[in-house]
Parts: sequence; C-alpha cells; structure tokens
Amino acid sequence: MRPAFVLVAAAIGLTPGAMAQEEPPRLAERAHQDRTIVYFLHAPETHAFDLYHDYTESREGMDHYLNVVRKGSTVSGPRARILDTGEALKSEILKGEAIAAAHLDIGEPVRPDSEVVVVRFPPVARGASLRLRISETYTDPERYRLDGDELVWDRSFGRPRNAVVLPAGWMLTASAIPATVSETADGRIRLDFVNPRPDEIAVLVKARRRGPAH
Amino acid sequence: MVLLAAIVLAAASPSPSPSPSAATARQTEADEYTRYELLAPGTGRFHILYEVTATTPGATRFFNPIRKGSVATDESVRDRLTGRALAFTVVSGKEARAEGLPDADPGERFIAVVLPRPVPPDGEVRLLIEKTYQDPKSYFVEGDHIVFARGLGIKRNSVVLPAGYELVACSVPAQVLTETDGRIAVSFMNPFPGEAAVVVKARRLP
Repeated sequence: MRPAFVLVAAAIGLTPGAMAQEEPPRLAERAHQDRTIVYFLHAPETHAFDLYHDYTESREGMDHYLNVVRKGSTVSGPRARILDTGEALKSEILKGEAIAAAHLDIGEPVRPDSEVVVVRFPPVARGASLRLRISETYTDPERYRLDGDELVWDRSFGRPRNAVVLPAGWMLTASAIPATVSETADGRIRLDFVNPRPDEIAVLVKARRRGPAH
Repeated sequence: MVLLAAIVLAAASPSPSPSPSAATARQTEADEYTRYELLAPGTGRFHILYEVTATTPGATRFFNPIRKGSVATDESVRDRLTGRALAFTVVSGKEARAEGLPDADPGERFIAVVLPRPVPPDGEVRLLIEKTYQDPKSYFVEGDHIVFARGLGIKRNSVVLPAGYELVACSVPAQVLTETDGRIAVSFMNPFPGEAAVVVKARRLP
C-alpha cells in the first residue's frame, strides 16, 4: 500500500489556497513529492521574476487550483496548461468580493484586498492525474532587490526542488544554501536546490553585474 | 516470458504514428522516482514501481532498461494521465540504439513502451512502469539480516521492507516512514551526480 499522496504548501510568495488545509506532515514522504518551481529573475531593480510551477493533481474530482497572493506581493500574467497534453487552461485573477462571489475557499478570510489566481481544469477522474504548469510573474520588493550594486534574492523554499535563474549579464557571488550551478543555453546562471528534508531552506543568493576583470 | 514479442494489454491505446524527427531524437526523461518493495526474504525478488516522464518532443516510444543481472517479470506500464494500461514490448539494446538511445548497451534489454500520444512540444507523458526483479546479488540474506544493496542512479527512491521486519541500517541519509499497512519504508533523495550506494539492512521482528 502506498503512502497517501501529500500536497505541500507553496513557498513561492503565495499560498496555494486549494491546499491551505493540507499542511505538509513532517512524516510525509519527501522524495515522492514532485512539485518543482523555477524562478527566472528580471533585473533586480524591478523586483520582478517569472516563475513556473509544475505539480501533479491526483485528487479525484478536483477541478481548480488556487494561489492566494501573499500581502506585499503582486502577480500578473498567469498562464496554465496541462503538460500531459499541451492544452492551455483558463486562468484568472480574482480580488476581494469576486472571490467570495465565486464561492472559493482560499483557506483564510476573504479581505477586500485579497487576491487569488484561479486555474480551472477538467475534474480529475478516479485513478487518473494531471500534470499542470502554472506560469506567473511576481514582484516582491522586500525579498528580491538591489542592495547597492548587488542583486539579492532572499526567500525561503518549501519544495524539495527549486531553481533560480539569474538575469542575463549577472554573475553569481554567493549562495547560502548548497546548490548545483549550471549555465543555460543563453548564458544565464542557474542554481538548482534540492532539499530532501521536510523543512524550508532559507535561500540567500547574491550576484553582481559582469564587468571587466580586475 | 518477457522475450515474447508484443505484449498488448487490454486497455492499451492505439499506437500513434511515429514522426521521423522523433524517431531519431535522443530520448530525454525527467522526474524519475523509484519505489522498491522487498518481497519474501531469500527469494532475491523485489517489486519496482518506477515513475518516469518522457520529455522528448514528438516521441512515440519510450525505452526503459532491464538491468543486467536482474530477471524481470510481471511488467506493466500505465499512463498516469488516465490510469490506463499501455502496450509495450521487450526489445534489444540494438533496437533501442536506433530509436533514441545511442549509448544503449546492445547486450541489454529494454522495455519499449508505446506512448498513448506523442509527447507534446514543451510537454510530457508520465508513465508508471512496474516490474518484479529477481536479483540475489542486490537482495539477499546475511545471517539474521536481510540486505538490499544496490547502486541507485535515480535521484528519488524509497525501499519498503517486508512486513514484520525492522530497519537496522541504512547507508544513506533517509526518511524512515511507516506505511499504512505497517511496513517500514526508507525514502531518500540523492542530490549528487553519481549513483547512491544504497545498503539497507533489516531484521525480522521476534
């Protein structure tokens, strides 16, 4: 008998409302969790980054996904598709009263400034599952910023697997958490973090613009 | 018998037409996870549930090696999108070489899965491959212990002990979990590029 499939709350600056009541038990099997998030940083002075978030929905009858946007962050351009088929899915941003009108349980009281990304998909059939990719753009001035001439990414990750891709033209100068480092096809530096433990890692990445050698 | 030609399961989908470009593209995959369920001690047998995602755009077949030294039986493959069984054959390394695995060992055998749909561009086809291996060099009895010793190249794995056994050793840092049926499982992720030299030892409970 396999352990129950466990959903883990997001650590991408937002909370997945659909899973708000399903906090990750510490004794859930970490290695089997298959959520992956990849962050693509824009220029740090914009505080913006794109991300895509892949996860498998296997709960019978589930037909939507919610991201509750954390206060202080903003979201734009949500897109979603089923990776298994390539089918694009409808996604939208709802705020305040519109959330209540849609009868969505976001796992917390709906405030006038509440904001949620909603992705709808066909209900999951028994024994089936969907692999979804949700893409969004976030701004988070507190956790992604420029300190002097130094790029600073200071965010915690709760997932087992996350990656951060630096903006083009930036060189990695520090990473507090061990990461594998690689170069993307277009020359950007990518850090991949694997955390086998059921806790968050406090990722701190610093970078600076490439310039002439001293 | 695994060498029988086509093994077509009842609910299998029809084979999509292969595209010429996909036929020769190098096979790519992602998100592998393997669960090893140790069967009766002394038999050398363990059941494998292997989750893997085919990611080669346009691919219509997926090859999964049968490790040398292991005798495979009870193979089955499912499409994780629908839960349906998929058709597969067992082919030679030579055939796998011609269809996307240029480094395949000609002496090795492969499960060749007929994908239920071509892999979408920038998408994937998720598979669950099950098989039972008999490999007494990997799973054996040593005194009053059972030992599972195997180099694991997949990065996410779990090993489930037979019912009635306690864990007494594990060579890699792992979570230790109790299944709903009472069996003990060890589960780990390997963040390094090489294989994990996994040795799990267990002892029968009094």
